[in-house]
Parts: sequence; C-alpha cells; structure tokens
Amino acid sequence: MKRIAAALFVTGVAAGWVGDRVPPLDPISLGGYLVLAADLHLHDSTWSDAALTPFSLVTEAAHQGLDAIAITGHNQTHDAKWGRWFSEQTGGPIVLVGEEMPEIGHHVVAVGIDSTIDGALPVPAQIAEIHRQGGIAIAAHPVAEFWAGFRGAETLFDASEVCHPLLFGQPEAERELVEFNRKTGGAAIGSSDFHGPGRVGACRTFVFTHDQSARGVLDAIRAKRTVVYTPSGHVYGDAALIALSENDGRLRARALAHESSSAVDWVSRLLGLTGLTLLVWVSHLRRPKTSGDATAIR
Amino acid sequence: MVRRLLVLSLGLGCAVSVLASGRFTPRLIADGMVSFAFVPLAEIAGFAISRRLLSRRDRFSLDADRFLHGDWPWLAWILALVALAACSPSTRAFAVLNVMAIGMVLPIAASIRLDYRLFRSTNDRGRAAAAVLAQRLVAWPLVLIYFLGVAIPPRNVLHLFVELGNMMSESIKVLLS
Repeated sequence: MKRIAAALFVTGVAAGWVGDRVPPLDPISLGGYLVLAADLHLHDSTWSDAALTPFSLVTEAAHQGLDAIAITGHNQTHDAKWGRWFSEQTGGPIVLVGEEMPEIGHHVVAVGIDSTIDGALPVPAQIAEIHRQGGIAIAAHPVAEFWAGFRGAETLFDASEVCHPLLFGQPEAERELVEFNRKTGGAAIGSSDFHGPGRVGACRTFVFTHDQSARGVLDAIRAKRTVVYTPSGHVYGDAALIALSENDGRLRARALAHESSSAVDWVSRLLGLTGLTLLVWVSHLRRPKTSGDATAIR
Repeated sequence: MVRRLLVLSLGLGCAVSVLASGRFTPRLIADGMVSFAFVPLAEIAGFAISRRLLSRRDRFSLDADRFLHGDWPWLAWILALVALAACSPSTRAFAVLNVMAIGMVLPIAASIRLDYRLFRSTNDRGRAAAAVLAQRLVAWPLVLIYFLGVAIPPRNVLHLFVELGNMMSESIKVLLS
C-alpha cells in the first residue's frame, strides 16, 4: 500500500512538473513604450500571512508571465528585499520593495520604498513618507467602506486599485473602485493582493515604460501611463494608451486569458490527490506503535 | 514521529501548491512545506510542554508518535481542501479557503477528543484535560503570533475577527452563486 501511495503521488507531482512551465511571451511595444505586465500588491509567507516565500513568489511571478512585481509585506519590508536580491541573482522579474499598511478603515500600499513606514500614522503622513522615500502610494482595494478612512487624502495618492480579486466574487464593486480612482485622479492599478489562494497576477497592471527597470515602472505610474483590464472586460487607464491597446488586442488577450486546465493538469490533480490520500491513510490511520513499557501514556 | 510530521508538512505543501497553481508542482509543494513548517513545529513544541503534566510517560519519540496520530482529522480537512481547490476555478480559490475555514470546527473538536482520550488512558481526568489545554495554549498562540503577529498590530486584533466574519459570509455567497 505504501509503495502504491508513493508511486501515485510521485506520478502526480511529475505531471505537475511537466505542466509547470514559464510561458514563452514576446515583449510588447506600443506607441514607443515598452509594455510591462506588473502585479504591485503581493504578500509572502515571512510574517505577512501568506503562503509562498519571497523566493517562490518571484519564481511564480515569472510563471504567470509578469515582468515586474512589488512584494508588499504587512508593516515590514525585509522580505521584499530578499525577493529583490533573489530575482537579481536568478534573472527574474523586476522586484520593487513595498509595504502594505493595513489599518482599520484604510489600507495603503507603498511601492518603491526602502524602509518600513509606520502604519499608525495618519494616511496623509503615510503618503508623505512614501514620497519622501521616492516611492508611490496606492490606495488598496478602495471599496466604499474604505472611503471614510481615505477622506481628505484622495488626491494625494499616485494611484488606486481598480482591479482586485474581490471583483471575481463581487463584480458590482468595480463601480466603487473606479469611482474612487476618479476621485484620486491617479493611475489605474490592477493587483492580485496575493496571499496564497488564487493566482499571482490574477489582476495586473500594464505599465508603459521607457525602459525595463524599477525606476521606469515608478515613473510610468507617476505619469499615469497604465492600462488595466477588469474581469468584466472593461478597461481603465490613460485614454490614448487604452486606444492603442484596444487596436492591438494583445494586452486584452493576455489580461483576460481564461485559465485552461490541460489533461496533464488533471492527471496531476487526480494522481496527486489519490496518492496523498493513501499516504495519509498509511501514515496516520495505521495503529500507533505500542510499547511494552508499563509507563506508556497509552 | 518524524514520518507523521513530514506527512502533515507534505499535506500543507500540497494544499499551497494546488491553491496557488492548480497543480501538484515540486517547487510549490517544497515552498509550502517551508512556509508552513511553523505549524508542525508549534504542535510538537506544545506537546513537549503539555507532556510534562502527565504522570506516566514513555520515550518522547514514542509519546509524540501517539500524539501525532491524532492529527488525522486535520489531515482529512487538508485533503478536503485540496480536493475542493483542485475542482474549482482559481477565481474561487479564496472563497474555497474561507468556506473550509468554517469547517475547521470539525478537526478542532475531533483532535481535542482524540488527544483527551490518549492522555486519559493513563492519567486522571484533571491531568488529561490540563495537558490538552496546555498543548493548545502553547501551540495555537505560537502559530497565530508567527502568522499574524507582524501583519496585524495588537491595536487591530479585535477588528480582525469582524473582517474574518465578513469575508466568510461573502465567500459562502460566492460559492453558492
């Protein structure tokens, strides 16, 4: 039984490995700009209540066809620096150091900063500190319940999220995210707020840059050169760049590509799950060892 | 003991891999095992301390092996999570996790019962209950402090429960839709 369980599990994992490839995507240039796919709101497992290490987050971003990411740990920036180092060593995507300051009533994402910012500061002071460090301030998932927390600081933001995975379950929230973005006058951003479930890059921002660098990404967002597609198929961002993108069609296709499961993926799931179930059966439902020692607790 | 800890860790790694990619991939399974290594470590740390309350003890590895046998309700919960995630589109992965979080009451209750029965087999009721309680009082705070300690400042802890409640009710709506 043990051998059968192990064989099924290993075959399932091998099938998963076969299907786990970095997609061969050609770089896109439009209107004289290099278009980078970015996800600027990712969490990792080192003290940021998420599931992947910063190293794996970098690898997963490449597998999801992203050119740039921001690792935005809750109230800390250490793991983002580890991720940036790892990506530089392995030739991965651009990694920007970030932080999310999740407070009651408002969540602010800082991207392109260097040191941790105190989440207890009022929102205008948080944004001022982000700017002092050379970063950009993004209002995270600003649905209506957060508007009171942002009141008076809307126009200080460089950008706000108009696409977030919450739209998969609450499509009606798109109107609120877009309305808040209009209040800020900032760039439109799509981010996955990835913690583990779902996909890195499930919502993404197409950033129109002059060069493939962290500075280029930040400058483009400050200049509002972004385009974001939402799950409903709507598109937001700079009007001229939206026109270019819609004429071209490739950004829409990449943003809204439906995830398809190949036969290999199903083999991986079926055999992996069956093998894991049998392994659990063999290891945990077997009678525990007993001892002849009279002092045993059982 | 080590084998049981590894299987628990493997289950956690597989859950991470399937929730994040829809596949059993070696790189994500290994990464999930590393990311959630604090769970089996906290569990065994809690047991090491609670075991001191028991009047009759065997070798630590044997005692721990018997104790870890009581993980099977949690492993069943993990298998259910993996199965549900494997059959659901990635856009519903968060909803799947939130709904499964409600189902955590089952492994919590079942593992308390199993551990109490294990400790009770050689100890009086008071000691057995104290050992079960001590194990939870050590292991659960360790897990929560590691996972949420930096992310949720103490001033916001109470609000966290309100947000969790909202998220779960929204997730049920998503899955039922």
